[in-house]
Amino acid sequence: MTRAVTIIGLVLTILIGTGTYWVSHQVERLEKRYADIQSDILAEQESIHVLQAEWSYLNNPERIERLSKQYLSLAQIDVLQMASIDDLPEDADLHQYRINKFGEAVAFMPVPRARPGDLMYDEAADTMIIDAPSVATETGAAQ
Amino acid sequence: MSLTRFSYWLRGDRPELGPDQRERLALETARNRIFITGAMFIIGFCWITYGLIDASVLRQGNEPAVASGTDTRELKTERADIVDRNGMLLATDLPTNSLYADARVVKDPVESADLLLTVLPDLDRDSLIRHLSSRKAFVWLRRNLTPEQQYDVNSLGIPGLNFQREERRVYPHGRLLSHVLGFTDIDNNGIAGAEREFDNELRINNGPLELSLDTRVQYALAEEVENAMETYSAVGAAGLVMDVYTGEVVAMTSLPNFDPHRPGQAPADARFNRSTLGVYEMGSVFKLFNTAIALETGTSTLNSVYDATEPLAIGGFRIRDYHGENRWLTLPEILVHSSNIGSARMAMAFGGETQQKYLKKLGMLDKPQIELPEVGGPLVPNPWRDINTMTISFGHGLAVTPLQVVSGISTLVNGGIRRPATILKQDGAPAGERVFSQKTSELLRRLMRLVVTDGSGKNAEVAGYFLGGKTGTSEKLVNGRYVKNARMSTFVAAFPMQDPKYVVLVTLDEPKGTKETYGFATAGWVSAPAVGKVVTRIAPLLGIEPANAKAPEIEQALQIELRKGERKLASF
Repeated sequence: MTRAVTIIGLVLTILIGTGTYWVSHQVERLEKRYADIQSDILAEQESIHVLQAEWSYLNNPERIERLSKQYLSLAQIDVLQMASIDDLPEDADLHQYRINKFGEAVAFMPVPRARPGDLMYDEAADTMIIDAPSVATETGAAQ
Repeated sequence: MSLTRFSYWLRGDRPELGPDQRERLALETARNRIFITGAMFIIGFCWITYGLIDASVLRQGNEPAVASGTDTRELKTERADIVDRNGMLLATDLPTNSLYADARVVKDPVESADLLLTVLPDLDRDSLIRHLSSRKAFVWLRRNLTPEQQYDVNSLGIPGLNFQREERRVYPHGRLLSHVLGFTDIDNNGIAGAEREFDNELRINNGPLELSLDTRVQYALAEEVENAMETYSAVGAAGLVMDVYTGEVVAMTSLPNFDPHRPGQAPADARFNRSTLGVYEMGSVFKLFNTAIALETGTSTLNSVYDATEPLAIGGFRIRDYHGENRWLTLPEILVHSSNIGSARMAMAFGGETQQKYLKKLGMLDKPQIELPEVGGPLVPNPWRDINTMTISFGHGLAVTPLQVVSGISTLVNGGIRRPATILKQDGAPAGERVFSQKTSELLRRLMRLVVTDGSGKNAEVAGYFLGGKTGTSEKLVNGRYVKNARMSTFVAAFPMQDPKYVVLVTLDEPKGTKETYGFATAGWVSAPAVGKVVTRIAPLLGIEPANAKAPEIEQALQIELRKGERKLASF
């Protein structure tokens, strides 16, 4: 009985001892990793910080404008080019087609909307409208 | 058991007993001791076991899912970032390395200096040698090296040279916001602009400082103002954009500007903020305030007529009109033709006291309130005579900052409520103080629109955005005397006039006329077109839709009655 208790005690002692050592070693390892990760996070935060500054620098309107002039064939939006969804015509009758001289169906230019200022509207109308015969004469010619 | 016997028992010694008994007793005592010790150990182990089970089994559910370390560090820069209203970074601290020497360790100062000069050629050789042979433990050699330079210096392997990690203030947008942001010195202390005003807050570093400025709007304003300044060879210029309902400054520029990274290299004139520190006589722009006071106090109505047939003589001065109509003018006509005589007569009707009271309420007589250290107080006449009342009615004799004018115009058009100007992002409109009634404000909107459609501000017209404004040209005061041909040309406008959202101001300092302006350098020719261009560019950015000029509700809102019963539309 005594011997059994002694052996069990001994085994328990060894087990607990080893266990405790193992756990403490693990904790130490984890703590080291934790510290490493912490410093990694700090380094990453610092890089993010620098990149944010660079992002802001790259977003400088002057640079964007320069790049847009260089690579895009876009100009500043004219007042005439802006419209809201309410300005669109509601009836589908406006989407008529005519037949061009090759017998293809071509959409009519949409009816221009009312625009800011008569003058601007007239100017735009001059540049936008393409000289084309009316539907009647066009279809008549095709026949 | 007496005390003596207990102590014997403890010692396992009973002298009165015989050897046999003593031996038995001693064994018994030993067994007792082992038992007690064992029991204690068992209690101890039970305790530990309980603790173990408690910690590993019973309490498991209550463990937090994520461990919270006490030593979690977060990147904290020396100074907080400054961002614009859209979160765009305007100023930040970036880590750099600075080179210093421990002169006690430096072996050969001359050789070391020559070696170092191969990498950093802009250092001064003599002072470098002096520093290196000074035997001091710490001498700065060069602050804020680039990573490349640091690498080069490091690879020289000169003993005694070390690097100190530092932080340096960086402004990614450079000159664009130089006057608003200000700058810091080499030790990162804010010494101008917002950097100085919010120095403490930025040091405490509780997240970024949010300004009300919009980088995109700022760029559009700065570019157009700069173009105007170059076209008309002006010596300086200022531009402002303000939200009329919140008092937020959306853009603020002053030209010439400077590079905030090298403020020391800029001349003092470039560091001077003309928008908030410069005080100028604003000229005819003040006629708007004058008209508003007259309409508010009831001394004038839209149908009042004033005699502008000939110059007004008072106390040795003669008040003349620049564009002389030489006839009787109605109140709207006074604004359209920018009549000094009419304005002076209007001001005399309500008197100097009323004028002072309203100008005080508009903030024209006190230092403007804004979160910048560079703020100039107005030059107010003292005593305030009748002649002052008359000249101030058309903007002479009272010098204010452009910021005050923009604030005042915001008050005029936003329904008559004055709110403090601010460069900090606001959450909704702050509490304000009523200066003018809603009705006066509405009339002024129509009158301002009239100036652009029919008056001196025609060149500012932008289809669809319904600008309304007023030109103001004044001769510059130099040493107390007016200088001919040295003008301040100001145009201030609000848009869209049927529901004003923003006020834009452009001031040019000493513009010169060009062939395109037929030699004129007055505000209507030089500043008004710039304002028009600014509005075309910033309106889409600020989310203002162009409206159809023929819309009946806008016609209604901007219609104005002119004299002779003739109905006149302010729009088109």
